[in-house]
Amino acid sequence: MPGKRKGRFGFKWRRRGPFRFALRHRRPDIKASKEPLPEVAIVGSPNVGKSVMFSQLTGHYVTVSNYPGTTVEVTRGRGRIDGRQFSIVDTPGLYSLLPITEEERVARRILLNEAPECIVHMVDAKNLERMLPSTLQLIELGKPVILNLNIIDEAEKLGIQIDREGLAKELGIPVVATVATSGRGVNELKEKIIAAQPREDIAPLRYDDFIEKAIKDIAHRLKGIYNASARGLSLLLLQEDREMMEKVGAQETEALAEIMAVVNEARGKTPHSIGYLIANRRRDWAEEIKRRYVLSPSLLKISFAERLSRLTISPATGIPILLLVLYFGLYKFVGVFGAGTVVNFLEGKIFGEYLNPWVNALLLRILPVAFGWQFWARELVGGQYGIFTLGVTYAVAIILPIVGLFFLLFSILEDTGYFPRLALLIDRIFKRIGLNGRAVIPMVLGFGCVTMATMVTRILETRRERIIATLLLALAIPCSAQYGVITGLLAQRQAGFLGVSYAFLLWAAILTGVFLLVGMLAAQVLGGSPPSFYMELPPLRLPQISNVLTKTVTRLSWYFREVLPLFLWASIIIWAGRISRAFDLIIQGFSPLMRLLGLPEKAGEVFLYGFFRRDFGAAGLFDLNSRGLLSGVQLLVACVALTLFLPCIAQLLIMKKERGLKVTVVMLVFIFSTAFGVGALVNFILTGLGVKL
Amino acid sequence: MEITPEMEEVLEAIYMAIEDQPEKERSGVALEEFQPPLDEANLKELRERGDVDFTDSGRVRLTPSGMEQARGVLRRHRLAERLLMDVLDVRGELMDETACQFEHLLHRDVAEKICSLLGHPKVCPHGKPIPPGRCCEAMKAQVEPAVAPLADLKPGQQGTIAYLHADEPEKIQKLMALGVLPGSRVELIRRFPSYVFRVGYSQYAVDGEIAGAVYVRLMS
Repeated sequence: MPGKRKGRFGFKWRRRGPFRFALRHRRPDIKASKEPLPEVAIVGSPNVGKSVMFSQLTGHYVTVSNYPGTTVEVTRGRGRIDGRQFSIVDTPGLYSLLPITEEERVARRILLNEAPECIVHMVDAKNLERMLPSTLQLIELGKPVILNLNIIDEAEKLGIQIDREGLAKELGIPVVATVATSGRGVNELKEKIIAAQPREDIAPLRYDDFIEKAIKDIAHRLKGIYNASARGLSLLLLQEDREMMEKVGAQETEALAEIMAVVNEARGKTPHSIGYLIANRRRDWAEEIKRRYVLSPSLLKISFAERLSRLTISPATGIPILLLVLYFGLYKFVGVFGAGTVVNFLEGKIFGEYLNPWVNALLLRILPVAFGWQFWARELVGGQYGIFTLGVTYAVAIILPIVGLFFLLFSILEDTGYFPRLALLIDRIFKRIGLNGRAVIPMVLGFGCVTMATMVTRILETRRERIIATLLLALAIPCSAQYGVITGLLAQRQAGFLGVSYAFLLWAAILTGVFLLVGMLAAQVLGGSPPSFYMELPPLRLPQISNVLTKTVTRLSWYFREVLPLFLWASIIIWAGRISRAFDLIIQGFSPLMRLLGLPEKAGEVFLYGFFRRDFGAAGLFDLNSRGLLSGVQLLVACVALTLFLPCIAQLLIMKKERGLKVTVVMLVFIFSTAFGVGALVNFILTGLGVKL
Repeated sequence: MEITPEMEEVLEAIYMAIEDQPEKERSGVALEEFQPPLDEANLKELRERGDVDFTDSGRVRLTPSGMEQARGVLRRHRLAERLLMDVLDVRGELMDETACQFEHLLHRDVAEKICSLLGHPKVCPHGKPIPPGRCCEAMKAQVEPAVAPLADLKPGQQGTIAYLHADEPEKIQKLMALGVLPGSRVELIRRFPSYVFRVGYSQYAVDGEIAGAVYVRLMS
């Protein structure tokens, strides 16, 4: 409940797949452990699954904090393996021990300052060759290293075979294969962690003779205490690493001078930089290892999945594919089946014929008097707008199935790996509205629940993007609850193109137009430019049922806990509004706006209720429509205005939390004016043209 | 003696006259053709240096060394014009005046750098040819391997990543986070609507800005 934990939705939500992000518990009350627990460091480049493995290994007391003096976040936790306690640190992404980014610097500092007992080097199994040079660097540091080939399932699917024993013997370290997300191989990893021993030989690779000699000369002079082997340190000094030089200088100043003399002498022996020679040698070595221990099929044959992938990313075929997905997915599955069939069944039959009448009868029995306070008490729970007959009914019979089906569809698409492809198709268009392809996730999610999508805007890089995305979500993206009912309403009108009614098509077209226009305006007004677009394209694959179900259930339970209760509150507010007649006054206040849109005064209800719960508003429209009070054009105008109208109460709260009060208020004013402005315009044009829908 | 800016102007003027009428290279240019007239003292000094000589009828010609000098001056003048216009957006009279002074200040090596920076342009903003320098000849001689940004490749082209270079470090970070690093083999799959390329078993999609930061050594 948002009231309880101030300003935080206190839940743990982890998503797998290419857009990986996690919201973790932040527990500033628990400081990093001061006891000297043996430390295990998980090291590797980003996106290999370090965080997932971290959760597999840790149980309690997970903290996320900034590494002192930096803005880089480091996650630490405690884990228990075979009865022994360990402190586990999930280091920021590190590709090479010669850091370029701040993240890498912090990762290296953790390794050198904290003396972990064991380093788990996580790599993407199918890219082993690229990662081996880093494994080598870690081995050269002198600590026990375990090579963890993660995401082994994808490698296997590609037909890659890795001779783990041979590799382990060659490198002199344990090699474990895992799939962190499923837990496969994690027990073996734990065994190896327990059994970790510092190794004897830390030089699986010898460099050029003059470099080896320089290493010996430098190692000879290092008398201080560092958390790395002399060899590892010498190699870093040979490559003139600033931080290492400072470290050594701090402990032994004369030695540093002599060492730098050795480095300079070595430098003079080659036209290339020493780092270049070392990197080259490591790369050759990695290629040789790959040749001996990794069997990978030729990349020439293009699988069906690859062919399909190519089709999705070429606009000529990709856009039709997208339209097909939209048609069958959004329109038919969520719209017609979900909002139509399922909802009719649940609302009409289950609630309509059984539950609601039963509740109403029960209420009449308890409070039999027809008028007065008993009437209002009955109306609180039952009747037309009661907590049960409207609040619960709508939540369970209407919203839940529609939103649930949407999340199911979304999770299926996500698991197949389709979204990065969609992202790259629309990146250029999104750049015009100040976003980039990566924004595709919150935008698409908005069609399920705009509130959730607004939260997901956190994954966007810049503040400008987050504001624009939030605005567009609040304005022009219909959430499924809304969308379901509106589809039902408009789809019934006169059929048009491909069996989809003109009214529906017009509605969709107007929304798209507003979306693009407002996006471009916002991008102009806010100034700056969208961040560059970059994204990995995972291979297309059949969705796995377990994954899909897990994701759907996770999202659905979040929705259940965070959004639905607000809707129940909304019912109470509406009830209170009706008792006090406050609502009637507000509806009267709306009538000039209604006239502007060419709508009957009663339509004001639609907007008022629509503020609290979108589906209420849409249902009100449904009502008016079935009573024959609206013409086709009026219906369209109302649908357009309602969709554009202010965000529902749940979303309003999220907007305030994520973007701040000032920004939210400005957006609200803008949205209000746009909704009615566009509605009036559409009314004007269509009635002027004498269009009949 | 040292060549002065005034002398360079004279050489330039003679060269340009020859440029318009190539036959004058041998037959010489009549002094009356120059508006404003060439300075006598400078001409004398140039003759003493051996950069110009005169025909029997008193027309002035450029000697081979003079030709070379003149070409250099003109090259620097026109490169300066290109620099001012293309990079600094200086046009019109201001460009002409400034370029006219630049030509005397630019050292030859600096001119070569400017030439490379501008991509070895062939003509000046007025449409006159820019005499090529050593860098342009070197470019022509160089066949393979050439290094080009990924953004310039055609679909299907392969190569090895030579280096990553961008004005903003975030772009490099993004590429590194993806695991796109020097030494990796890369193949471009698509350019539109976004750049899609393959490194090893993984595929990535990036926009033009990031694709421009990946410099690839092409395979022949």
